[in-house]
Amino acid sequence: MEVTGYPELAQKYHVSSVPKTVVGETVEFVGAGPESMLLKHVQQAAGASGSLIV
Amino acid sequence: MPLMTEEVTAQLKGEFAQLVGPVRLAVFSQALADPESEQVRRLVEELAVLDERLSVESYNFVLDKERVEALKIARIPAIAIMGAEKDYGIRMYGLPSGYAFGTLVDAILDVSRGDSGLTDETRAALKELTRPVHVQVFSTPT
Repeated sequence: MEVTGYPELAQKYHVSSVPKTVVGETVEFVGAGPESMLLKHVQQAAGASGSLIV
Repeated sequence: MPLMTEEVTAQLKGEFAQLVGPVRLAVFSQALADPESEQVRRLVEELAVLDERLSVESYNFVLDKERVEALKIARIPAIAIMGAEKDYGIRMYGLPSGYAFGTLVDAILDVSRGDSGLTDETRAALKELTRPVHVQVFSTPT
């Protein structure tokens, strides 16, 4: 998502430096990282809100 | 006047020589609310003519509500990058300029191959997930 066209999203997700990755609304990190790090965040997001929804 | 220079067009044709399966590009724009989104539509339409494995469907964000909902398009400009049969859920929002343009081309190639390029370990771990997870990556033009 190219965020300059969506200032409201930049504000909502506190995007001050890029790339910024937001996983499942709750988990986030800034910058590039290894695949294992992204996986960890995905697992965390799935676990975190999964229990609330299911 | 075309948006892409001849040089870029030639380079892209070279990239698209690697395409495997067909790729469907659905582009959502709305000239009145967002004139810039029309540039994205034109760009995607120009891209799609470069290789016969690429096809484009252009939709109006306001009028084509059914498609907007079916493909879960949240805002414009939007591009859904889909395989012939399978929608992997890949969406690009905003202007695909600068670095984002390369991301768009990479997404097209990945979808065409039907392969994310992830390691076996990651794939195995993702299979264990019990619910969908929304991943959003924010960038700015560079």
